[in-house]
Amino acid sequence: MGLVEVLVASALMAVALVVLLGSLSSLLLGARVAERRTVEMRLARNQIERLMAPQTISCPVPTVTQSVDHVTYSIETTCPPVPSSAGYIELKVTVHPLQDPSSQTLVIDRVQQ
Amino acid sequence: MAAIFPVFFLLYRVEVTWGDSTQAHASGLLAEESLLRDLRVYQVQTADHNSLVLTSPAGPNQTYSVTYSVDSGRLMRTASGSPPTVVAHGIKEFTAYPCSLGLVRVAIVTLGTTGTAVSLEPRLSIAPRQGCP
Repeated sequence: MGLVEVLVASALMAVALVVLLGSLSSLLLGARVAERRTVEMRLARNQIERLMAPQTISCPVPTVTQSVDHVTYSIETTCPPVPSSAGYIELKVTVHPLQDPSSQTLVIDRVQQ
Repeated sequence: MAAIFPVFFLLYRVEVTWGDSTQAHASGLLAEESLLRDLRVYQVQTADHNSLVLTSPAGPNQTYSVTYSVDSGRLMRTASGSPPTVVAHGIKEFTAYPCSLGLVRVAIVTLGTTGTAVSLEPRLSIAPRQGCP
């Protein structure tokens, strides 16, 4: 086999492998992000249910952390100001990985009459 | 060239494992949606392993009940006077814990496409809107 054929075959193989590895890497990163978003949503929902359990809700609510699959998440609850005549309070739960506070956060509002 | 194939194989295996976990979590989320809806509305009568019975007073001398159970990897919902319906596939087992501190907790274990059991974390917590019995 000549040198030219070997070079062309190697180049084709390299292009194919780069495409395959690139696709797999994207899949892995996407799955990781989706997994974290799901966990954040579940943690936020659980926090809201926990806050709904007692008859009265008092602000401020202390920030808590919880580890899921070796990732520690911060669960912050804030009470944005609402008009005093509104007759409800608003709770905003924000969840994000502790190691990555700059990542996209999940925010769920909860209104209590 | 010899190093590329092990890397490819490793990435492929990790992708398959994570994909399996993602699919199992999706099954669990489907199951949780129905449980959330019913647990918020009805009262918990009995909570046990693979069994959850919810009741609601439907009127004088009548009680409407909703029962959740697992049958052949499917989460079944049976309401009074209605045939059982499939809520979610790929559910291996679930355990409902009685009301504590105003919260009902449900642990769900799902089945991945390769048959591996995936425990959903964090566990589902629900505050019954009508209070705990």
